[in-house]
Amino acid sequence: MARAQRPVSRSATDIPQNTFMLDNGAFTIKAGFAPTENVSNAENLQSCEVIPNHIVRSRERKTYVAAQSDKITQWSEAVFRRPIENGQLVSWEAEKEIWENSLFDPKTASKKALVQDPADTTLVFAESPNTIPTLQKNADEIIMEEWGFGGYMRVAGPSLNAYNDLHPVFEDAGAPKAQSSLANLPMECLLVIDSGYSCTTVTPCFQGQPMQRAIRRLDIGGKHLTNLLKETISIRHFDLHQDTKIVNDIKEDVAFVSRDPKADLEAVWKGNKAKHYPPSAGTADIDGRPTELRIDYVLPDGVNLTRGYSRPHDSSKEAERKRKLALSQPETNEIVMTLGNERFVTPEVLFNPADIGSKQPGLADCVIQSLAKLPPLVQATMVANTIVVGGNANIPGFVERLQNELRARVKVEWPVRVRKMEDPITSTWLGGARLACNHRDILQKHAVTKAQYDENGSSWLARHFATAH
Amino acid sequence: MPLIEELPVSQTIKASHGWAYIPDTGPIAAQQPGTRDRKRVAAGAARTAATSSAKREKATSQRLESLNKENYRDGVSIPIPPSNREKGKGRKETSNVKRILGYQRTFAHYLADVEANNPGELHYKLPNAPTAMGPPRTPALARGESSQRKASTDTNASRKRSGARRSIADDSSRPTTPIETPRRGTKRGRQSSRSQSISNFETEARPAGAVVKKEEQAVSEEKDTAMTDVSSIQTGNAAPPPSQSSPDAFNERESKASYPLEWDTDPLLSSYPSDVPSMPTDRIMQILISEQPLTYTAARARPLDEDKRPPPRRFCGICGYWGKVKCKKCEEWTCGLMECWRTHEGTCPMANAY
Repeated sequence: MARAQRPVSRSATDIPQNTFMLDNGAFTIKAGFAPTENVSNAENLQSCEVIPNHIVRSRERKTYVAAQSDKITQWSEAVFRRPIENGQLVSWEAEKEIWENSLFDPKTASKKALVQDPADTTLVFAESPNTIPTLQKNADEIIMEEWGFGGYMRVAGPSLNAYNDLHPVFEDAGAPKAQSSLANLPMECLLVIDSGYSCTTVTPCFQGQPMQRAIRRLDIGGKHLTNLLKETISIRHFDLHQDTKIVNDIKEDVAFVSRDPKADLEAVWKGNKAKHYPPSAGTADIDGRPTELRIDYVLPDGVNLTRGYSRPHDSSKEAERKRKLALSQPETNEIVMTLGNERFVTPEVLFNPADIGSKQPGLADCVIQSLAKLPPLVQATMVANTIVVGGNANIPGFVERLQNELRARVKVEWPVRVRKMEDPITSTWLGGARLACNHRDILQKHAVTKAQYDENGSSWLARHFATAH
Repeated sequence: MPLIEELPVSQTIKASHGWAYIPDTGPIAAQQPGTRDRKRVAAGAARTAATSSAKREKATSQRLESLNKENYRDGVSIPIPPSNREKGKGRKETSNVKRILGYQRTFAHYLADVEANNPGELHYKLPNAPTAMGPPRTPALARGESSQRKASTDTNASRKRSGARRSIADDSSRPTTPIETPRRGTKRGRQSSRSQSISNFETEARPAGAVVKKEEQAVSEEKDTAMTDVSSIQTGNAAPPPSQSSPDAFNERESKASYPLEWDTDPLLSSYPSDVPSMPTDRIMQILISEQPLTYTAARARPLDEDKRPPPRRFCGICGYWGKVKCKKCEEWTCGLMECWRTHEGTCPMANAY
């Protein structure tokens, strides 16, 4: 536990009260000011702005920065440039442009995310764990020198989730409400599985601090799922290789994780039309009637339809006849494809990367590897307090499937609880906002002021952030 | 005259023939008629095993690369649109900022840097190789552990430990040995019964953890009233009178037992509440929190060991069902439905169009 060589007095260098929480993700940036007093989650989230972290060039050769891309109607053949590659912020040229556009320019930034006076604001910057040190240094230097924030704290994103109000997430509905004093403490033991765009990280946290030796990363994320779906659809239906955003929409609309992929695969096989195989219990109707797993997806064409949509597949004979009729008439400008096993085989890759030939372990095995580095009691507590954040947590059935797989691998006496917040994408941002609001002392201890940075330099800054306090 | 050898063969050889089936060994097999198929099979198997695995590996790695792509076209660059916003407040870029903004490096560069700086780490290597002293990376841990060893020599724990290791002939230590070793025995029994994958922490941190456990054992044993007298024996020259009762009581119990007392501590009998793992000390938790982060490559999840991996699942390349049939030419799997198979025949890259 290294104290700074020169004792730096904090009283003269307090960080500004106004705190701006920035979760810099590879797909979206979650940005907003932290509230000054304790408010409910819903209210808190209203100050969070989700900004796409990309620069797009559309088919018409027009370039859109960050949130400007919401104006695009024709997504076919759009090309993307992302400053974050494989979870690491590599290109500051692009990121600076995005930040200027979304956070600092009064004309283009939204009200929630506009930082009027950086010198009077403390920035809490969430990065991915195990960032390459050179890139961390670059980030520190640019943030402090270009925009000159009054206070700055760089922290590993997953550990911020410990400051969320997690007791209602983990306890059953009938349990008595915890006293307010408990609800404000950071969660003591929390295993955060951050499954985002570029990769999936397993981070065990103790008292809000990540336990570094046990952090493990799986290089499969939303990007790989989208590309896999793109390949599959392009082989079987239409060539969508150039339409990343469209396939992303398809993935977000119809993909799900099956509780029993073998049963579901039987249910959608063409060879099983004679014998009717019902889909697995998780995907059946509420009253037990098996529902049709296949859906028809209508692709957008940018002119009449700007966003695709799905509808259940009708396999009756009349629908067949109607479809044949529609094919013969060229005026019906509806591009439809029937998706069956693509829906649940694509996210299977997260649990079985061997399906695409990768040697990486599945997500459950990755969690076991991470836990093996911890003392046994901590392992048991972690597995009972697991939270999934990130975009992939939104895939229906993901959390239940992960819980089942972990349950099969862990001692039978240990309870296994895997949960997710209501909105997994802004969960880390919410944790950071709550940290800034309720745990001002922790923030004061970790953050540095501009004056301290100017005096001590970026290597001191790196050491300061790397040591726990 | 071809070489004819009488080889030990399990089947009965007809005496009339004067020949026998022998395993083909390359050139000899070539000379013998009727072994053409076997030779082709043997040579073919060797060929496919060598080239197809390399080709297959290349194909899989190419596929994984393509899954990692951002855009469908490589080398597409989007220049930053020139912004017509005023550089408000007369901000001048410092040299650091200018340099960083001018970097044209991609992720591959930084990754190469990381791998160059940490030459010992391959992609799938354990970041901390287990040694007797535990992880070498963190000096804090090593320091903490050695100081712990030193501190423990002054506490009862070490005396108890050394007492246990002393020969049982020593009278004063005998009462403690059977009491202590059962406790330790249960812990070891539990360790072996735990699943392999979660026992790594035990093997790596056994020096630090075991010391802690023994300290805690000492603490827990001191709390137990029956044991306090016993523990006081170990502080060297305990006065006999207070300790007289318990060794006697223990001996009495031993003689009254109708079954061997070791059965009491059989790991199979340990029920859940007493099987709860011990609470790691604050010191250990503090060390775990304050370690340095791993490098980027070290933090990647390791592939499972060969024998623990599930068998690879094959899917039909056409419809997505399980792959049941493998095309002989291009090694692509199909589900067996006629339509899938015909589709594949039409698009098979290795098909010889007649």
